[in-house]
Amino acid sequence: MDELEQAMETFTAVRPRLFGIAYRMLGSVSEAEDIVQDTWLRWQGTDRDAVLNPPAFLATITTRLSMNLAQSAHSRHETYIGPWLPDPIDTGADPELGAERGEALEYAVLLLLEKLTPAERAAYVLREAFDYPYPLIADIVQSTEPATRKLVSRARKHLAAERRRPAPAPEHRRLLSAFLTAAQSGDVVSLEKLFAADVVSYSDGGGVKLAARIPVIGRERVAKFVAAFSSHFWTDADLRWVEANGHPAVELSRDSVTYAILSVITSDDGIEQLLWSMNPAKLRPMTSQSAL
Amino acid sequence: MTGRRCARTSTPRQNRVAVHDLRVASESGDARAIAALLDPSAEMVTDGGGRVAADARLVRGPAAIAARICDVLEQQPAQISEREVNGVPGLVLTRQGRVAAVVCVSVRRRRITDLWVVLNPDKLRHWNRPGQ
Repeated sequence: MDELEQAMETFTAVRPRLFGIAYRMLGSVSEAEDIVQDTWLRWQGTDRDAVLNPPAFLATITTRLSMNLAQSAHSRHETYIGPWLPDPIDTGADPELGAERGEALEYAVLLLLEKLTPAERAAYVLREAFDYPYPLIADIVQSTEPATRKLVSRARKHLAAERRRPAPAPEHRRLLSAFLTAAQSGDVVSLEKLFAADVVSYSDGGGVKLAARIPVIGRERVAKFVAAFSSHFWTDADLRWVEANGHPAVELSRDSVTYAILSVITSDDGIEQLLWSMNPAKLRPMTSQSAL
Repeated sequence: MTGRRCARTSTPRQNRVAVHDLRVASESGDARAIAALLDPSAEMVTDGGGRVAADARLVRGPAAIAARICDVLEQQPAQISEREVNGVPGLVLTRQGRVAAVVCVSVRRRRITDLWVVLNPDKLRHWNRPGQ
């Protein structure tokens, strides 16, 4: 067997798994197929004799490519017209699209996964759907083993907690409106009252604006975090209600230049997530659409 | 199998029964029967990729959801079949031999709490590939 045939054989054997990882990470069949194709191209260009464990190597490439794409997919979903849902896959008829095994494929899970950071998502998928050992997952997501265990347990907590109902639209609006008031005055106590206990604040600054790249977690910490930038962040801000992914959100601008979109995810327990989008490149499509 | 189960709020059997009953009630256009299968807090989310009117993207409550299902099927009749979607029982709507919609549900305590309807043709392309 020639070298390329052998490379192909190794790849074909793990292809369904690679698709399964990418699909769970992205919820898109075409994106997952592209990632699998990219993985194949990289595998062709790799010095394969130096690879000790080809399946793990290939899973690593696929996961990292998926994490990169998940980063930008998040903002595309935010500006998608109407609610974004994952592509459904026919697991009955097509074993290939069955993504190798059934774990973590249900819509309820995929929709929750979509709310996690790419690293949390990757760690969760590799652990729960494919039972990878922690040291390997840590290596794939380029983290330490204890930090990886934490990623998985946080993801699990988010998912295993009985899925809470999103707050009805008027309540969603009220929470966001009360948040704006409390945030602008830096009122930590009022902020805490609006938050669910395990509230998470995610920022996407695209590496451009000063923004916490790491999610801030927990009622007290998020309240302090928000209060800490109360003065400069809101000064001279024009607030405008817009719609993001089917929910009311707020656009912040200064001198007619949009600098942030704030959206929240709410439930009966209050605000579950704050999503700060401050990446200039990603604000443009939103701005042009905001006449909705 | 790891034996762990995440966010699974009903047994596969309950799921299958709920999906089957939903198909039967939808085929007979019986709004009351559909509503009876739904949790009071039920929501129906539709992803039409911009092709669905804004007020139809998110429908809340059994009566409104049931009415919407009946309206749509009356205006645009479709063949409904029970299929495994994303590892669990779901429904597939076919018109002229082409998959026009895929419906996933979530079931809790024997009632349907969520319906996720994908109409966006881009997201259904792989359901309509030749040979499928």
